[in-house]
Amino acid sequence: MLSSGLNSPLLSRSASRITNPKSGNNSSNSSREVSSNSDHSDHDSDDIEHHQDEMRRLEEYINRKLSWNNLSLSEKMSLINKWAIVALVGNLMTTFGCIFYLLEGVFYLATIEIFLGFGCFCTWCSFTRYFENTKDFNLISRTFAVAIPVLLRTLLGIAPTFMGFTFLGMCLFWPFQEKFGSFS
Amino acid sequence: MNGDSVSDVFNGTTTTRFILGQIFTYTWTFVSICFFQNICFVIVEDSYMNVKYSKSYAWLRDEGD
Repeated sequence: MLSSGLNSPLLSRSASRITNPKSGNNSSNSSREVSSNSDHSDHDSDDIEHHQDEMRRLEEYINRKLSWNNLSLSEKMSLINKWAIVALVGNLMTTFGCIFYLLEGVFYLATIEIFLGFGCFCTWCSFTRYFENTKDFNLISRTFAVAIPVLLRTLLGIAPTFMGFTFLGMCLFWPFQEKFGSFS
Repeated sequence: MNGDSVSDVFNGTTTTRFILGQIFTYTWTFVSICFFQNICFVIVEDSYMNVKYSKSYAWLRDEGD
């Protein structure tokens, strides 16, 4: 079992803010306000109960036993070194590409080219990880990492328009087979 | 969207249906270049600016606020 390292002052401060967001960081003030506000109305009591429920859930989250089964998918993914996978795939494809090339009569040249090409591509891309510790050198890769999720979401939003134009073109201009003959 | 194939598409579509071909090609070129392409540029530029001018401890300051 891994011990939870989440009991930081930062989280306890945010927890006190969840308990009573109107108050500052002083927990004694917050408890005083809770006791004084509890007499005002049902709305306030519901609000307090809601925040206490949030506080309880936050405490459960902080004090949970960390194991592989309890982690979310994003937390599991953050524990995996992606560059190692890229390097592994690149080296494996290069190795098998070389072996296939030696056995050229057994395997097709097109298959060998794919293995060698993607192997070289992955190997060269994996060199990027050595720039990760220097801020100025990995500007492009960090920009890439930030921009790609937003770009993918945007492209997903644009996709219906693309599809609309595609089918319109196929319906209207199908005699022009070279460009509008098929969906691709 | 860009490049030499725009001319090929324009010639092909206008040969098939003259008016609709022009409307289709002009609309597609306008929408793709003026909107989609520029939106992608802006997103990448915004990400670049965020990365360039953010500090490595910026997440800590954001959490503390």
